[in-house]
Amino acid sequence: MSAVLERPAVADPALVALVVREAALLDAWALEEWLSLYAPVCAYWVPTEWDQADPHATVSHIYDDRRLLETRVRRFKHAMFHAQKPPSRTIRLCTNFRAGPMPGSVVCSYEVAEFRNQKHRRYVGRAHYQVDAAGLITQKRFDLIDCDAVQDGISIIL
Amino acid sequence: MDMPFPSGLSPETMVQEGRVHRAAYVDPAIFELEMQRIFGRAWLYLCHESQVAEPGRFFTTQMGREPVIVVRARDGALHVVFNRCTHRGAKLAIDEQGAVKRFVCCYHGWAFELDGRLAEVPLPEGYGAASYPPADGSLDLVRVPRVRNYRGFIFASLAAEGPGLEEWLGPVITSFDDMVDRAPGGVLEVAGGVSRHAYDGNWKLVIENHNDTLHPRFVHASSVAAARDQKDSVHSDGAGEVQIKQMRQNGAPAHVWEGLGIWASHHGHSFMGDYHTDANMAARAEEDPVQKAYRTALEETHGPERTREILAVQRFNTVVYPNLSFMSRFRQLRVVQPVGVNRTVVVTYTFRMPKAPPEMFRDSIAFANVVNGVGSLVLTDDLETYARVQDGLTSQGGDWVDVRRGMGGDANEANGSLRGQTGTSEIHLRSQFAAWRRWMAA
Repeated sequence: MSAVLERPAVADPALVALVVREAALLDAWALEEWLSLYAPVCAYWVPTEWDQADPHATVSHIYDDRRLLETRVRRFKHAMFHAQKPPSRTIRLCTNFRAGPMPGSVVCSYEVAEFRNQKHRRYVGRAHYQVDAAGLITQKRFDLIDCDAVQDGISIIL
Repeated sequence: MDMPFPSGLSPETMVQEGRVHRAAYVDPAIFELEMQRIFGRAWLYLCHESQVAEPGRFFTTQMGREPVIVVRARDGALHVVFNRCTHRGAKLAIDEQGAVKRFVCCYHGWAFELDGRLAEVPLPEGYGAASYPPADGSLDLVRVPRVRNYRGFIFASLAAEGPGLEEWLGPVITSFDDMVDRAPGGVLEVAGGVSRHAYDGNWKLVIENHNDTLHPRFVHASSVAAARDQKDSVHSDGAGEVQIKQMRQNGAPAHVWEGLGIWASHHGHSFMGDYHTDANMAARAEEDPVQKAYRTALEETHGPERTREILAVQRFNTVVYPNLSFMSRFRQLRVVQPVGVNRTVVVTYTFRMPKAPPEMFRDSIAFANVVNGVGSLVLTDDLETYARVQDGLTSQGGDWVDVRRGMGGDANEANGSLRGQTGTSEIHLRSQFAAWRRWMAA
């Protein structure tokens, strides 16, 4: 990350637009359409360690491959998803975009505000998106600033 | 009973045949008494020896709400001391784990040896005529009186007296044996980081739920259905495959749950049989080359006959009352840390078998994410349920929690445990509350 800070590269506007659209679809609960932004081989990852290297060698708050991501989305339609009763309302802020270390990647500061069951909760962190040649997301990684803290259950998609 | 309880009941009268008064979950005075009489006396699981493997390695945790340091001294002995400088009270060890030569207080530089002895006080002449550190040990770190390691699992008790660890564990000691014996060479180590979750509910709710075999079909209905409808042709790098298998298995038919067995014992401990059939294991199938290599490694340790016996043990969750729950077959462990009467933290660890095929650890990480991850499609519904129970129990719309399922059908087993009439018996709850009542009575 330090190289990014030394020479902040301007983010590709198409990638910025993709991230903003992704956030808007999640806030709108348009989950099928949201899923269509992801590649057939992809990962959605919320690590438990800052700069965690490997989702297969260390536990994660969330690590979904495409198969599990589809299952996650399908669960929202089920009447007995208790942790989403009542459902959450979310608003996302994504800002301070810069190019990521790899071609087709973008990094931004990311916040999800969630309101559910009379409680307001904030998830703040650094989001990292990797996109393939077709413009589909191959990885979304969200590093929470409090990734290694005690967490209550997270029932929304961050 | 000196302490006045808002409920007007004493702890002895809160536990009756087949029912428990809600005050046990919601009364702050009861919670304070639990911290003294249960967490202040019972054997509590602290950590695994791999977390304090070499001299100087330390691990910080809590016994109930008491902060302690587990440390391996230069001579290899394990010590458990209160994480508090004996001078002005500052916390000594801040990191969750690490390695030190001595514990040096940040405030006035008092330095303590790894065994807790006060070694050095800067400018000692300023503390008066007596020589510092005092020779009588009166300013050494306060030691937790009883520490015991059973096959690598380190327990301690804040009470100087009480039953020995092995006696106290009773029949559930075989679950620790199961976990160690399943590791080739008998070697296990905590690995893969740590995951901590919290919920707005009493500490007993999670301890009660882990051997509750009736809840999955209701609490986990959404993840069972979503996993069943998932196409297996969609790409998985293995992580999703393991998790989806586990979710589907939670949807096992009623006869599987009824038949799997649940055992409880005198001090409130319990274990359940395993509902993972070989064909649907959350890890890997029998014919898998990884499983074959694993079996070969086990046979090198134990020989073929003993290996067959070890792998025939079918056990899922084991609860060691009051603060530990673990899965011997899947190498997951959870430590319960009460925060307040309606707030609980659960710290979870995964174990690696260094002499087993590395793919098995990869599977264990995926399995940890589904059973202990805060964003898990399964755990989230458990945490929501605990909060709803806590909410409901604050109501005056009924004072009693019913724990009668399977009552009257408990059967004595040769190993000293009681077996529930069916796999969904609430025998584990009755056992926990019998132990609770004994602890709380005096």
